[in-house]
Amino acid sequence: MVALYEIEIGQEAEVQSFLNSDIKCYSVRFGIEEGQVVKCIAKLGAIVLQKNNQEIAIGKNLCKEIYVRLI
Amino acid sequence: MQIKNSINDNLQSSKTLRIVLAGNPNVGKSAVFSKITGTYAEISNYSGTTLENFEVKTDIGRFVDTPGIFSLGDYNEEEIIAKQIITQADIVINVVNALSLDKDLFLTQQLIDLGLPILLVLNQMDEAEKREVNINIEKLSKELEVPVFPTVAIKSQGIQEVKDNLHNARKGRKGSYIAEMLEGKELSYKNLLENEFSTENREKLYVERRKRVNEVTNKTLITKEKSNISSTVGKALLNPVIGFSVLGVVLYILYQIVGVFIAGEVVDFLENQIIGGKYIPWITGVVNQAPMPTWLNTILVGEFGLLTMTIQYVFGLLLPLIVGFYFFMAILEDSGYLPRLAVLTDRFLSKLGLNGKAIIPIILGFGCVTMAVITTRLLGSSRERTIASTILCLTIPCSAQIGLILGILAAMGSLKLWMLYLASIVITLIFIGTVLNKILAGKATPLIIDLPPMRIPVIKNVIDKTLCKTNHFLIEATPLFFIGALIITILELTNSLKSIYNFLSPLTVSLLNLPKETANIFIMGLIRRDFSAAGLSDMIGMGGKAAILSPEQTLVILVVITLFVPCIATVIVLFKERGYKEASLIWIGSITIAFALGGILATILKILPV
Repeated sequence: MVALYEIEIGQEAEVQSFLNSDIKCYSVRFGIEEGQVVKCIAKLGAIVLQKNNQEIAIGKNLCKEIYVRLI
Repeated sequence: MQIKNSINDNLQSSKTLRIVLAGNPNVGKSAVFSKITGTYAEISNYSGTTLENFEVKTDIGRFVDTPGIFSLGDYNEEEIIAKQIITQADIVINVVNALSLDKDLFLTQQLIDLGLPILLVLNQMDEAEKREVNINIEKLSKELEVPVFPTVAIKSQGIQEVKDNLHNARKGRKGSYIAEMLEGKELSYKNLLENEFSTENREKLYVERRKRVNEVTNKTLITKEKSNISSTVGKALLNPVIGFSVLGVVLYILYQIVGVFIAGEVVDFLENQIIGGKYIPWITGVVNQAPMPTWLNTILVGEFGLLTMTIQYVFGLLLPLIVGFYFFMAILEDSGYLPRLAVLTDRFLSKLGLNGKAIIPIILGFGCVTMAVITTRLLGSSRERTIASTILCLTIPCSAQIGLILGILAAMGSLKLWMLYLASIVITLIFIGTVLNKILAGKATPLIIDLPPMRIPVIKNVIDKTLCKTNHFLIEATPLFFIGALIITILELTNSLKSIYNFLSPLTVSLLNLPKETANIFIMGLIRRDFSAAGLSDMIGMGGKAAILSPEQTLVILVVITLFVPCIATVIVLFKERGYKEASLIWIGSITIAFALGGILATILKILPV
């Protein structure tokens, strides 16, 4: 398990856990939840994830508080 | 059924229905609101257009537009405000984006779990069709147990059906977890509210709600991942090389259109040929023929005359610049480019204690700093709003001012001057942001934003927005310009202007190495920032008069008036938004920094002339 920040462009990852409950609730609203598979489409400090038709940008600091399994 | 009857009763009785529009940011709430009520609410292709509750009374009821939120909670000020309004609603028109159904339905399910009567509007259906996102509307309505209406709000499609069906708003199907969490308590509104906003329950509630939303979307949504031009362009803009190159091209086009073409050709035609060549001689002749005391004649058609200089500045100089700038900004806002710029600039802005979202108020600040200070509300914390407001008031020139600055720099034709001007402003911006980030307690809130699809701007929307903002500018600025011109003429008539020039000469002459008369520019700047730049344009010979300033002196003034106090309107908003103490600090701080930096620059330029 690594921080989401480790993901590279084109790589997929499955969300595993969050640093704390606050970060979890914050992310769950966007559909970033445990078990969700996301794909990285850009990395410029902030990471842009594709999830279905949605593109979500997540800042560097938050990416360090979301833990994933790289696929 | 009971709700339907009570809404019907209300529709027929005299009680005013409170119909609230709610939804995630950037789903098109403002467009739906405008089309339903027939009023203009600002529409942009980025989140946070609606930062105040916009209320309109119609025959049907009182419609309230609320800021975009991802949930009813307390993550930021918008959520707290929206929560207060939405929980008091008789009917909620919940607008969701057909392209991001799984995200947007989280709020929908929360509204349903609270037992609010809902009408679901599925907006941007045209974009969904283009991307082959198919939503089974009938099934969605059945699953949620609320009526669902597909719309393309900016084209008015489906709006009439929404209006005709307000009485069909329903309390939907609550998640099974609600009854479980209430542990046998009655399903009353009070208990539902308590359950929803208890911090103890939140994690469980959010996770269960997300499961329920996933279940609904799995049953109703069929997507084929399809790459189209919009998504290809959107992705390309996220590449650092392409993204920053495009930013460079955008700024160059802005410079060519506003700085060279409008500030040069258009302003020259309007200000010098039409107003200066025809209107001013005519009006001066008319006033001179009328019997009146000399002082009144000076006020009306003197050097700073209300009917001469003021008209020339507002309509000959500023109006064309404002129209050009707002038109250009409206295209950028409508295209979906700004949120991508937020991603590109997140890394840089995080060093200033902000996150990428702050680029939106900063970019809007180039249009109007007053409006941008209000837009800082979309930032996640008071700390970020303080940093962003300070940066805006100090370093960001507004559209009228920037148009003139671009024009003045283009007229001087020196790349070196350009670079020095930009370097002075950027260094100040970085310095102030870094210092505030160090001294203010806390850290930047995390960035998490939705990137809307790139789209070709709707020309009607662009024109409407340009006209609305230009109109707002004229209404706000013109009286202040008249007051400013009047004050300066009175000062001149009473010989006070010379005393002020002398009083300020330690600053203007000794510190900034400028002629005494330039004090005028700073007095004008206290009234409006662009007023001072307009005054400056005369001193460098743009209005057909002889130039009295050297390029070095012009550069010093440009830097000082950019950093100098924000205009009266911004100061008023600043006091309202940031409180007396903080606003005073920003205000006094900006004067001090402006003159201090101007002094340093003047000294450097004395030793090393351009």
